[in-house]
Amino acid sequence: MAPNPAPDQLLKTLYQRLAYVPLKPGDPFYEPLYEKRGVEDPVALMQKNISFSDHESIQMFSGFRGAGKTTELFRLKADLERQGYVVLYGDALTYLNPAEEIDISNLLIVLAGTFSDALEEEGLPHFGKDSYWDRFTNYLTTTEVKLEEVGLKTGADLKLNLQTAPTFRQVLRTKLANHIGGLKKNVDRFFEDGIKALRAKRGESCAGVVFLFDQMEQIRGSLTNEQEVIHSVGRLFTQHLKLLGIPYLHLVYTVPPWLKFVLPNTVPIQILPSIRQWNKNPGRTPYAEGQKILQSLVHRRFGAAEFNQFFGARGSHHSQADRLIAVCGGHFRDLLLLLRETVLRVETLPVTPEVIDNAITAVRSNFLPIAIDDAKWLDRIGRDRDPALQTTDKKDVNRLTRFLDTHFVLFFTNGEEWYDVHPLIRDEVRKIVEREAAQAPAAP
Amino acid sequence: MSDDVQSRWENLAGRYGLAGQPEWRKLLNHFDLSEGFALVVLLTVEADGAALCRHELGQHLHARGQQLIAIELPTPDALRQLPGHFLDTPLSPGDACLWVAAVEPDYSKTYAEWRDAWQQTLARLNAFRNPIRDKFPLTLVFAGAPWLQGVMRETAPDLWSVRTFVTRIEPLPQISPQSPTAQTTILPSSGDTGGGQTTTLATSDDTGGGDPLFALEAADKLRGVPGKELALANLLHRAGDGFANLQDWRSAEKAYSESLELKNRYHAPPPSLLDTLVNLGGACITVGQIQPAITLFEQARQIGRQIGDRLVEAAMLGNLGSAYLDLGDARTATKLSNESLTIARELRNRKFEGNALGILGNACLNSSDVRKAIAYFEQELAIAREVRNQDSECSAVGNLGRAYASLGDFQKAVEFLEQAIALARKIHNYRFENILLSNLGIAYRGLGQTQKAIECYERALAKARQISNKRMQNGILGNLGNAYRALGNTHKAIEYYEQSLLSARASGCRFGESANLANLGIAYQDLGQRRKGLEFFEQALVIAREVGDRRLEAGTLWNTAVVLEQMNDLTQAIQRAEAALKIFQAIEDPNAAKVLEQLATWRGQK
Repeated sequence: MAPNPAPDQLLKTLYQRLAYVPLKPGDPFYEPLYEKRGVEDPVALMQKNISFSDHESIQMFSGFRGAGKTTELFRLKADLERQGYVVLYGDALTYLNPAEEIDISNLLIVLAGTFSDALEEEGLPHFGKDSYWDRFTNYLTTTEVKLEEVGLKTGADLKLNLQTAPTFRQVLRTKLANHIGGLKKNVDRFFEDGIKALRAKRGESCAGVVFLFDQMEQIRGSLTNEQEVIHSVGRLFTQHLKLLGIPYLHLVYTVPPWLKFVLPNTVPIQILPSIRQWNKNPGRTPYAEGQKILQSLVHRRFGAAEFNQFFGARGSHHSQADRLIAVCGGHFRDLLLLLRETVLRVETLPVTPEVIDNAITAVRSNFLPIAIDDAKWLDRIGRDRDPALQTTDKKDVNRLTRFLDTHFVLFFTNGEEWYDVHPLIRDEVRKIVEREAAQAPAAP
Repeated sequence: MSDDVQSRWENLAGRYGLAGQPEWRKLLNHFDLSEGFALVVLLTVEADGAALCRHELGQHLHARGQQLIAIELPTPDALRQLPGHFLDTPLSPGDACLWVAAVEPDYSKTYAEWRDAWQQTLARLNAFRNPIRDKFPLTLVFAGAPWLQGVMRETAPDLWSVRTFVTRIEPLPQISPQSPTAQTTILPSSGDTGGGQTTTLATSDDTGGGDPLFALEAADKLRGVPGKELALANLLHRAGDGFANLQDWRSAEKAYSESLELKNRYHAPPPSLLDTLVNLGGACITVGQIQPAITLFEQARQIGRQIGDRLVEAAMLGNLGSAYLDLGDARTATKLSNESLTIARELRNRKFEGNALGILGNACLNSSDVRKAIAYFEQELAIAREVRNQDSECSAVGNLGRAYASLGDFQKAVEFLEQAIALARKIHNYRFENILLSNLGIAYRGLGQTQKAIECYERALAKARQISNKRMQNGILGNLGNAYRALGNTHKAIEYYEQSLLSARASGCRFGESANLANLGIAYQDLGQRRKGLEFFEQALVIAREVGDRRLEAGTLWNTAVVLEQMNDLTQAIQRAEAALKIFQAIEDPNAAKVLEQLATWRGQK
């Protein structure tokens, strides 16, 4: 096909289709990635855990940035609702500050408060006059904590202060330090009332109540207190695990992925993997199912006619799209980034190999430069397909998490968990290591 | 806008050539295609670059009825305070871009403070990624120095993960299509045609370097400090620029070499590597190391391809063309310059188009296709005047002077060259002035004003030695040889030819080598040492054919014809003369008439 100038409207449409926003099930761009043969479906696993549990359960869900966690949580919600569950969603960051340490008292209050908000948002029946915020304020009056001491008059004050006043959160934490047991009971009672009311309304068809408590993985502190905040999150899930479960409720917390490395066997954590494009063997032989999934994603975003117009008719020109897919590492955001770079650079259609080359080079440069020590670690990961974590010291765990969060390292599962280096940087890593080896003095 | 301000923008615009940069076009395309929230990270090496981008982007959006809102961050503290009020930034309909810029190079004194401020700011903003996405239905641009990418990736991974793209804006490489060395005349012994070929001109390579010793002092503080290797490399590059500006090319070469070694070792980003490759290449050319320069320009060209920068590719093709001309390889020079011209025209870059035309003209001149050379130089001049590039104008005028000298029109040559010298003085381009002086000397010789020519050459030579400019020295030495020979001082002429020959061989300049061998042949012939003269001519002929210099080939054939006739080998003499005539006629060389006349006499004798 002779090249034609790329029509502006087509490019505009495509570019906007390639923007990254979390998708809800039913969205035409949603690609059912995990509902394919040969791909482990973490959502299906979480559903099973809920179904196989009696009245309540607690699960941890995680994934590295851009893996599609929020989208999959929405899918879990839709699937569970189809099975008759009432599923509510809460955002931890509505009331928690991601830059501050978290403790069990604040978490419990926020957990109940967001559940209360979710009930109102869903238009589900109230079970009393009071929201949780009012209930808690009333609860405080039963303790020796004086409302004036914490600057509260009403439940609305509580909500506002939790959102905006760090000192309030600190004061509350201190005041409630000796009241955790009572607080937990207060929270449990609130949930119980809510669940009862929901079940009464739904009748026998209500399979159960699920609460998805999202964004806790965002709690990681700032530059000055990162270690303390991370430590506080770790403490929550180790020392207070029993307090994190709510009776009669199926609870899913999203958690930071590094928990996996510091608490390996304490709580099973479902981590959303990258889409596997190659097998765990030295030659990295292609894994066809993964390729097909990503090809389908691209087709879905472009539309059939637009795909052919942009990449050329199927056959030899489909290889242009495959070149981008081959280097995305199985990561949607990286694939969308590559596709966007291509759209921004194209002048004539179908897209030329040079434009594809330039797009790949541009996205590769986002990963550079790579420090020598990092390259050496990455090289070990690439060879062993293992995180090669020497210790579980915070420094090492943080560094590995950074690799995973920034997609330098990819996480896969196919019966077993394994890791590999992003295809965009493998050559660079190899060159750095070879160069270092060449320049190192020979061992005596 | 005041004239000064307007002038500043024009200068900046000229330094960056944004319209020709693919990364800039990518940014503008984004604004044409995008709706809703987007996050763009713009990396540029200096605050001026960011200011230019903001200015140009603002104008682009304004033309579409949209606005760019800029948040001023004059100090690190202002940057640190940004998260506190960022979400309160008021927006209006028509706002298309929110611009947040703080560009501080990693070698500046306040770099550590700015880096710390960016880290803190981004870490805090990272926590508000979702509210930021919800609040701003427009493109957020964070503009910073290249190190900002790593900082953002490490301290704001959530924001980083929703970036729409990263764009890198660099100033144009300081690229000078290099000119060949001065080339000496091959004279038929029957007369001094003075049809010399003068040095062609480089365009300005004003590197704008500051105090190189100050840069070296700052660099010394970073030696051995882990993690500062690239900052050290940048300072060494800066020192190289400073030395180049002072025309201390040996020191410039040393500084650039060390910088390049570090940049290669510590994986500097391609644009940074490119800068040093090009500048080191330029320094190598100047000190006469042509082959190393070719290697460097080739590497730079590969990087240009890698990063998809066609302008760099065009420029490197031009530089390679010029370098091959220096080696006397006009064929390769023509091929490469045509490729450069094609790309320059595709990109509609008039400056580079003019440069490529200049090199093509010089290649034609070297192949003795003077009419075609003049046509190219006239196009080069028209473009230089159109884009108001006085360096290019100076080069084009000087090239025309050289071309007319080749045609034997020395009066016209002197007019053009004096015009070019006046322009070079006006724009304070002393390197140009020196080259033009040498060319003027050749033109004066052509007019028979040999003493005046020698004065021009000796001034130019003194300067060329002072700044270790081997290229210039080679040519001037050869021309001095010609001048002294014209004055009858053959022994002095031989001294200069031998110096020039040594220098040409050292720098791998085959054309210069051939020209000097031929001139030595003529000189020994003048001294009556015919056999020795013939040996030099034979050596010169081999190289002249190898490099495709037809004028040189014709002149040498004729010279050997004359010697053979004097040695009573009339048959061989006529054969050589006929071969020479054929070429002289093909290239419209005025010597053709004299050769024809002499051939008629020899045939008559036979």
